[in-house]
Amino acid sequence: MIQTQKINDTLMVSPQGQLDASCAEEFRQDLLELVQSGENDITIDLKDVDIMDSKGLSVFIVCHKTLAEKGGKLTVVTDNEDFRGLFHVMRLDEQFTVCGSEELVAGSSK
Amino acid sequence: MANENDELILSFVEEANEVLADVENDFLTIEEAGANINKELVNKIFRGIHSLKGSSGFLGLKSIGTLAHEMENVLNLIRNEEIVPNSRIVDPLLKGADVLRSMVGNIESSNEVDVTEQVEQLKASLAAETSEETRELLDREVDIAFPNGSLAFVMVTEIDLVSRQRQGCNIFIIEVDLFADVHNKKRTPLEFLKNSYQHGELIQSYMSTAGIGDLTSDLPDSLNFVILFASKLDQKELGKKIEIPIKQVHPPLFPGSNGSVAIRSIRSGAKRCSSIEACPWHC
Repeated sequence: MIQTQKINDTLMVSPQGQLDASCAEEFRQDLLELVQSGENDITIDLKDVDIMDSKGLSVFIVCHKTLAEKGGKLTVVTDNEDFRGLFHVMRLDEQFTVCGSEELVAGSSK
Repeated sequence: MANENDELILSFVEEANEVLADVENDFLTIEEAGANINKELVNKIFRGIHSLKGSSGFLGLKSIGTLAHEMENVLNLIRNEEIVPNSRIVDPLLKGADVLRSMVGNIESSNEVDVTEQVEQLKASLAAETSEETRELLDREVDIAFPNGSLAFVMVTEIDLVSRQRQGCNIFIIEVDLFADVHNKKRTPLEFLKNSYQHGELIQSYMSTAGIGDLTSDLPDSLNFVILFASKLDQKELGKKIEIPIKQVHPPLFPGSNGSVAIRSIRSGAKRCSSIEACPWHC
Protein backbone atom coordinates (compact mmCIF):
# COMPACT_ATOMS: atom_id res chain seq x y z
CA MET A 1 0.00 0.00 0.00
CA ILE A 2 2.97 2.33 0.24
CA GLN A 3 5.36 3.81 -2.27
CA THR A 4 8.85 4.80 -1.20
CA GLN A 5 11.45 7.07 -2.70
CA LYS A 6 14.84 8.15 -1.35
CA ILE A 7 15.34 11.91 -1.57
CA ASN A 8 18.71 13.05 -0.25
CA ASP A 9 18.92 11.59 3.27
CA THR A 10 15.23 11.09 3.84
CA LEU A 11 13.03 8.21 2.75
CA MET A 12 9.77 9.53 1.35
CA VAL A 13 6.91 7.16 2.15
CA SER A 14 3.56 7.70 0.45
CA PRO A 15 0.62 5.70 1.75
CA GLN A 16 -2.30 5.42 -0.66
CA GLY A 17 -5.98 6.03 -0.08
CA GLN A 18 -7.32 5.39 3.39
CA LEU A 19 -5.14 5.35 6.47
CA ASP A 20 -7.55 3.54 8.73
CA ALA A 21 -8.13 0.40 10.77
CA SER A 22 -8.25 -1.70 7.60
CA CYS A 23 -4.59 -1.07 6.83
CA ALA A 24 -2.95 0.76 9.74
CA GLU A 25 -1.35 -2.41 11.18
CA GLU A 26 0.08 -3.24 7.77
CA PHE A 27 1.42 0.31 7.48
CA ARG A 28 3.04 -0.02 10.92
CA GLN A 29 4.70 -3.28 9.81
CA ASP A 30 5.98 -1.63 6.62
CA LEU A 31 7.45 1.25 8.61
CA LEU A 32 9.01 -1.16 11.13
CA GLU A 33 10.72 -3.05 8.29
CA LEU A 34 12.05 0.21 6.86
CA VAL A 35 13.45 1.28 10.22
CA GLN A 36 14.94 -2.17 10.82
CA SER A 37 16.63 -1.96 7.42
CA GLY A 38 18.44 1.17 8.62
CA GLU A 39 16.16 4.07 7.64
CA ASN A 40 15.99 6.60 10.46
CA ASP A 41 14.92 9.74 8.58
CA ILE A 42 11.41 9.13 7.28
CA THR A 43 9.02 11.55 5.62
CA ILE A 44 5.41 10.44 5.30
CA ASP A 45 3.64 12.21 2.45
CA LEU A 46 -0.14 12.29 2.83
CA LYS A 47 -0.93 13.62 -0.66
CA ASP A 48 -2.69 10.40 -1.65
CA VAL A 49 -4.49 9.91 1.68
CA ASP A 50 -8.08 11.06 1.97
CA ILE A 51 -9.30 9.44 5.18
CA MET A 52 -7.47 8.99 8.48
CA ASP A 53 -9.09 7.39 11.49
CA SER A 54 -7.83 6.98 15.08
CA LYS A 55 -5.88 3.85 14.18
CA GLY A 56 -4.21 5.63 11.28
CA LEU A 57 -3.34 8.58 13.48
CA SER A 58 -1.72 6.31 16.05
CA VAL A 59 0.79 5.07 13.46
CA PHE A 60 2.44 8.52 13.45
CA ILE A 61 2.82 8.46 17.22
CA VAL A 62 4.47 5.05 17.38
CA CYS A 63 6.64 5.78 14.34
CA HIS A 64 7.86 9.01 15.92
CA LYS A 65 8.64 7.15 19.17
CA THR A 66 10.74 4.54 17.40
CA LEU A 67 12.63 7.07 15.29
CA ALA A 68 13.23 9.40 18.25
CA GLU A 69 14.62 6.47 20.28
CA LYS A 70 17.09 5.83 17.46
CA GLY A 71 18.06 9.49 17.10
CA GLY A 72 16.20 9.71 13.81
CA LYS A 73 13.28 11.89 12.78
CA LEU A 74 9.79 11.77 11.37
CA THR A 75 8.40 14.46 9.07
CA VAL A 76 4.80 14.53 7.85
CA VAL A 77 3.99 16.37 4.63
CA THR A 78 0.47 17.42 3.82
CA ASP A 79 -1.24 20.33 2.09
CA ASN A 80 -4.58 19.20 3.49
CA GLU A 81 -5.57 21.96 5.92
CA ASP A 82 -7.87 19.57 7.82
CA PHE A 83 -5.03 17.14 8.46
CA ARG A 84 -2.67 19.95 9.46
CA GLY A 85 -5.30 21.29 11.84
CA LEU A 86 -5.70 17.82 13.31
CA PHE A 87 -1.97 17.39 14.00
CA HIS A 88 -1.93 20.91 15.48
CA VAL A 89 -4.93 20.42 17.75
CA MET A 90 -3.47 17.13 19.00
CA ARG A 91 -0.15 18.98 19.49
CA LEU A 92 1.56 16.23 17.53
CA ASP A 93 3.23 18.95 15.44
CA GLU A 94 5.26 19.75 18.56
CA GLN A 95 6.64 16.21 18.60
CA PHE A 96 7.51 15.87 14.92
CA THR A 97 7.58 18.25 11.97
CA VAL A 98 4.36 18.70 10.01
CA CYS A 99 4.74 20.84 6.91
CA GLY A 100 3.28 21.60 3.50
CA SER A 101 4.86 20.34 0.27
CA GLU A 102 6.23 23.79 -0.57
CA GLU A 103 7.91 24.14 2.81
CA LEU A 104 9.46 20.71 2.34
CA VAL A 105 10.91 21.72 -1.02
CA ALA A 106 12.21 25.01 0.42
CA GLY A 107 13.74 23.17 3.38
CA SER A 108 15.47 20.50 1.30
CA SER A 109 16.97 23.02 -1.14
CA LYS A 110 18.97 24.77 1.63
CA MET B 1 33.39 31.64 12.81
CA ALA B 2 29.71 30.91 12.76
CA ASN B 3 28.59 29.71 16.16
CA GLU B 4 25.35 28.16 17.25
CA ASN B 5 23.91 31.50 18.29
CA ASP B 6 24.56 32.98 14.82
CA GLU B 7 22.65 30.10 13.31
CA LEU B 8 19.78 30.63 15.70
CA ILE B 9 19.69 34.32 14.84
CA LEU B 10 19.68 33.53 11.12
CA SER B 11 16.82 31.14 11.61
CA PHE B 12 15.00 33.77 13.68
CA VAL B 13 15.39 36.33 10.88
CA GLU B 14 14.00 33.82 8.41
CA GLU B 15 11.03 33.08 10.66
CA ALA B 16 10.40 36.78 11.29
CA ASN B 17 10.45 37.57 7.58
CA GLU B 18 7.86 34.88 6.99
CA VAL B 19 5.64 36.18 9.80
CA LEU B 20 5.93 39.78 8.63
CA ALA B 21 5.69 39.09 4.88
CA ASP B 22 1.99 39.82 4.41
CA VAL B 23 1.18 41.26 7.77
CA GLU B 24 0.25 44.78 6.59
CA ASN B 25 -2.30 43.41 4.13
CA ASP B 26 -3.61 41.09 6.82
CA PHE B 27 -4.01 43.98 9.28
CA LEU B 28 -5.94 45.97 6.66
CA THR B 29 -8.17 42.97 5.96
CA ILE B 30 -8.82 42.67 9.70
CA GLU B 31 -9.68 46.35 9.96
CA GLU B 32 -12.06 46.14 6.99
CA ALA B 33 -13.87 43.19 8.57
CA GLY B 34 -14.32 45.14 11.82
CA ALA B 35 -16.49 43.33 14.35
CA ASN B 36 -17.11 40.58 11.80
CA ILE B 37 -13.80 39.05 12.78
CA ASN B 38 -11.97 36.42 10.74
CA LYS B 39 -10.63 34.42 13.68
CA GLU B 40 -8.48 32.18 11.54
CA LEU B 41 -6.58 35.16 10.14
CA VAL B 42 -6.22 36.93 13.51
CA ASN B 43 -5.03 33.72 15.14
CA LYS B 44 -2.49 33.17 12.38
CA ILE B 45 -0.91 36.59 12.99
CA PHE B 46 -1.24 36.24 16.76
CA ARG B 47 0.63 32.93 16.67
CA GLY B 48 3.36 34.40 14.45
CA ILE B 49 3.94 37.46 16.64
CA HIS B 50 3.69 35.32 19.80
CA SER B 51 6.39 33.04 18.42
CA LEU B 52 8.64 36.01 17.56
CA LYS B 53 8.22 37.31 21.09
CA GLY B 54 9.25 33.95 22.54
CA SER B 55 12.26 33.47 20.26
CA SER B 56 13.49 37.05 20.66
CA GLY B 57 13.43 36.68 24.44
CA PHE B 58 15.49 33.51 24.17
CA LEU B 59 18.01 35.23 21.87
CA GLY B 60 18.31 38.42 23.92
CA LEU B 61 16.69 40.58 21.22
CA LYS B 62 15.07 42.89 23.74
CA SER B 63 13.66 45.65 21.53
CA ILE B 64 12.03 43.17 19.18
CA GLY B 65 10.67 41.21 22.15
CA THR B 66 9.23 44.29 23.86
CA LEU B 67 7.45 45.50 20.75
CA ALA B 68 6.23 42.02 19.76
CA HIS B 69 4.83 41.53 23.27
CA GLU B 70 2.76 44.70 23.07
CA MET B 71 1.48 43.83 19.58
CA GLU B 72 0.61 40.35 20.82
CA ASN B 73 -1.51 41.88 23.59
CA VAL B 74 -3.55 43.90 21.09
CA LEU B 75 -3.99 40.89 18.81
CA ASN B 76 -5.00 38.76 21.77
CA LEU B 77 -7.83 41.14 22.62
CA ILE B 78 -8.95 41.26 18.99
CA ARG B 79 -9.08 37.47 18.73
CA ASN B 80 -10.98 37.29 22.00
CA GLU B 81 -13.46 39.85 20.64
CA GLU B 82 -12.76 42.24 23.50
CA ILE B 83 -11.97 45.05 21.04
CA VAL B 84 -13.15 45.82 17.54
CA PRO B 85 -10.19 46.32 15.18
CA ASN B 86 -10.92 49.87 13.99
CA SER B 87 -8.27 52.25 12.67
CA ARG B 88 -7.33 53.43 16.18
CA ILE B 89 -6.38 49.84 16.99
CA VAL B 90 -4.91 48.83 13.65
CA ASP B 91 -2.76 51.92 12.92
CA PRO B 92 -0.37 51.30 15.83
CA LEU B 93 -0.16 47.64 14.76
CA LEU B 94 0.83 48.71 11.25
CA LYS B 95 3.50 51.04 12.61
CA GLY B 96 4.70 48.33 14.96
CA ALA B 97 5.03 45.86 12.08
CA ASP B 98 7.02 48.44 10.15
CA VAL B 99 9.48 48.94 13.01
CA LEU B 100 9.72 45.19 13.62
CA ARG B 101 10.61 44.62 9.99
CA SER B 102 13.24 47.32 10.09
CA MET B 103 14.78 45.83 13.25
CA VAL B 104 14.78 42.34 11.74
CA GLY B 105 16.53 43.79 8.66
CA ASN B 106 19.32 45.15 10.90
CA ILE B 107 19.29 42.46 13.51
CA GLU B 108 22.82 43.19 14.82
CA SER B 109 21.82 46.68 15.94
CA SER B 110 18.18 45.95 16.77
CA ASN B 111 18.72 46.33 20.52
CA GLU B 112 19.80 49.95 19.96
CA VAL B 113 16.38 50.82 18.54
CA ASP B 114 14.15 52.68 21.00
CA VAL B 115 10.65 51.20 20.67
CA THR B 116 9.10 53.30 23.47
CA GLU B 117 6.99 55.38 21.10
CA GLN B 118 5.45 52.36 19.34
CA VAL B 119 4.87 50.59 22.66
CA GLU B 120 3.18 53.66 24.12
CA GLN B 121 0.94 54.02 21.06
CA LEU B 122 -0.13 50.38 21.33
CA LYS B 123 -0.79 50.74 25.05
CA ALA B 124 -2.75 53.95 24.46
CA SER B 125 -4.93 52.29 21.83
CA LEU B 126 -5.81 49.55 24.30
CA ALA B 127 -6.38 51.98 27.15
CA ALA B 128 -8.91 53.83 25.01
CA GLU B 129 -10.87 50.70 24.14
CA THR B 130 -10.67 48.42 27.19
CA SER B 131 -10.99 48.48 30.97
CA GLU B 132 -7.97 48.18 33.23
CA GLU B 133 -9.42 44.93 34.55
CA THR B 134 -9.39 43.43 31.06
CA ARG B 135 -5.83 44.58 30.36
CA GLU B 136 -4.61 43.06 33.61
CA LEU B 137 -5.95 39.67 32.51
CA LEU B 138 -3.52 39.66 29.58
CA ASP B 139 -0.57 39.11 31.88
CA ARG B 140 -2.23 36.63 34.18
CA GLU B 141 -2.10 32.90 33.78
CA VAL B 142 -3.99 30.19 35.56
CA ASP B 143 -3.61 26.45 35.98
CA ILE B 144 -6.65 24.28 35.38
CA ALA B 145 -7.26 20.95 37.09
CA PHE B 146 -9.54 17.97 36.70
CA PRO B 147 -12.12 17.49 39.49
CA ASN B 148 -9.71 15.05 41.20
CA GLY B 149 -7.16 17.86 41.50
CA SER B 150 -4.62 16.64 38.94
CA LEU B 151 -3.49 19.31 36.51
CA ALA B 152 -5.07 19.32 33.07
CA PHE B 153 -3.71 22.59 31.62
CA VAL B 154 -0.99 24.89 32.90
CA MET B 155 -0.50 28.61 32.42
CA VAL B 156 -3.64 29.35 30.42
CA THR B 157 -3.93 33.10 29.81
CA GLU B 158 -6.90 34.29 31.86
CA ILE B 159 -8.22 36.51 29.10
CA ASP B 160 -8.83 33.39 26.98
CA LEU B 161 -11.22 32.11 29.67
CA VAL B 162 -12.81 35.32 30.87
CA SER B 163 -13.64 36.55 27.36
CA ARG B 164 -15.58 33.36 26.68
CA GLN B 165 -17.38 33.67 29.99
CA ARG B 166 -18.31 37.25 29.18
CA GLN B 167 -19.82 35.92 25.96
CA GLY B 168 -22.01 33.60 27.99
CA CYS B 169 -19.98 30.41 27.63
CA ASN B 170 -19.23 27.72 30.17
CA ILE B 171 -15.74 26.28 30.32
CA PHE B 172 -15.22 22.51 30.35
CA ILE B 173 -12.38 20.02 30.34
CA ILE B 174 -13.36 17.17 28.05
CA GLU B 175 -11.57 13.83 28.13
CA VAL B 176 -11.89 11.95 24.87
CA ASP B 177 -10.63 8.46 24.13
CA LEU B 178 -10.11 8.47 20.39
CA PHE B 179 -10.95 4.78 20.28
CA ALA B 180 -13.79 4.23 22.78
CA ASP B 181 -15.47 7.59 22.10
CA VAL B 182 -14.61 8.22 18.46
CA HIS B 183 -13.43 5.15 16.56
CA ASN B 184 -15.97 2.77 18.11
CA LYS B 185 -18.72 5.23 17.21
CA LYS B 186 -17.65 5.07 13.56
CA ARG B 187 -16.20 8.57 13.58
CA THR B 188 -12.78 9.83 12.54
CA PRO B 189 -10.97 12.28 14.85
CA LEU B 190 -11.59 14.98 12.23
CA GLU B 191 -15.32 14.29 12.17
CA PHE B 192 -15.41 14.44 15.96
CA LEU B 193 -13.59 17.80 15.97
CA LYS B 194 -15.78 19.31 13.25
CA ASN B 195 -18.90 18.30 15.16
CA SER B 196 -17.47 19.77 18.38
CA TYR B 197 -16.84 23.10 16.64
CA GLN B 198 -20.59 23.27 15.98
CA HIS B 199 -21.20 23.47 19.71
CA GLY B 200 -18.47 25.74 21.02
CA GLU B 201 -14.86 26.69 20.80
CA LEU B 202 -11.68 24.80 21.51
CA ILE B 203 -9.36 26.90 23.68
CA GLN B 204 -6.50 24.45 24.14
CA SER B 205 -5.99 20.73 23.70
CA TYR B 206 -3.39 18.00 23.65
CA MET B 207 -3.02 14.32 23.15
CA SER B 208 -1.40 12.36 25.93
CA THR B 209 1.08 10.00 24.29
CA ALA B 210 2.62 8.68 27.51
CA GLY B 211 2.42 4.92 27.80
CA ILE B 212 1.98 4.37 24.06
CA GLY B 213 4.33 1.83 22.55
CA ASP B 214 6.51 2.08 19.46
CA LEU B 215 6.56 0.43 16.03
CA THR B 216 7.54 -2.94 17.50
CA SER B 217 4.25 -3.46 19.33
CA ASP B 218 0.65 -3.59 18.16
CA LEU B 219 -1.02 -0.23 17.64
CA PRO B 220 -2.69 1.18 20.77
CA ASP B 221 -6.40 0.73 21.39
CA SER B 222 -6.72 3.82 23.57
CA LEU B 223 -5.58 7.40 22.88
CA ASN B 224 -6.33 10.16 25.35
CA PHE B 225 -7.20 13.55 23.94
CA VAL B 226 -7.89 16.36 26.43
CA ILE B 227 -9.74 19.52 25.42
CA LEU B 228 -10.34 22.83 27.14
CA PHE B 229 -13.65 23.87 25.62
CA ALA B 230 -16.00 26.84 25.81
CA SER B 231 -19.66 26.28 25.05
CA LYS B 232 -22.99 27.94 25.65
CA LEU B 233 -24.43 24.50 26.34
CA ASP B 234 -24.48 23.00 29.81
CA GLN B 235 -22.51 19.90 30.74
CA LYS B 236 -25.28 17.46 29.94
CA GLU B 237 -26.32 19.04 26.64
CA LEU B 238 -22.72 19.31 25.46
CA GLY B 239 -21.94 15.68 26.30
CA LYS B 240 -24.99 14.62 24.32
CA LYS B 241 -24.20 16.77 21.28
CA ILE B 242 -20.59 15.65 20.99
CA GLU B 243 -21.43 12.08 22.06
CA ILE B 244 -19.05 11.98 25.01
CA PRO B 245 -20.18 10.45 28.34
CA ILE B 246 -21.05 13.18 30.82
CA LYS B 247 -18.56 11.78 33.34
CA GLN B 248 -15.81 12.82 30.90
CA VAL B 249 -17.09 16.42 30.58
CA HIS B 250 -15.79 18.26 33.64
CA PRO B 251 -16.28 21.73 35.00
CA PRO B 252 -12.72 22.98 35.58
CA LEU B 253 -11.02 23.53 38.91
CA PHE B 254 -8.66 26.47 39.36
CA PRO B 255 -6.18 25.32 41.98
CA GLY B 256 -4.34 28.67 42.12
CA SER B 257 -6.44 30.94 44.34
CA ASN B 258 -5.54 34.09 42.38
CA GLY B 259 -6.87 32.70 39.15
CA SER B 260 -10.01 31.27 40.64
CA VAL B 261 -10.96 34.51 42.36
CA ALA B 262 -10.51 36.59 39.23
CA ILE B 263 -12.35 34.20 36.99
CA ARG B 264 -15.27 33.67 39.36
CA SER B 265 -15.73 37.35 40.07
CA ILE B 266 -15.84 38.21 36.41
CA ARG B 267 -18.04 35.25 35.58
CA SER B 268 -20.79 36.76 37.69
CA GLY B 269 -20.55 39.95 35.62
CA ALA B 270 -21.20 38.27 32.26
CA LYS B 271 -22.80 40.95 30.18
CA ARG B 272 -22.76 40.42 26.49
CA CYS B 273 -23.82 37.52 24.40
CA SER B 274 -22.69 36.86 20.86
CA SER B 275 -22.43 33.76 18.78
CA ILE B 276 -19.11 32.00 18.93
CA GLU B 277 -17.53 30.99 15.71
CA ALA B 278 -15.68 27.77 16.25
CA CYS B 279 -12.00 28.05 15.61
CA PRO B 280 -9.86 25.01 14.98
CA TRP B 281 -6.66 27.05 14.86
CA HIS B 282 -6.25 27.73 18.56
CA CYS B 283 -2.84 28.69 19.77
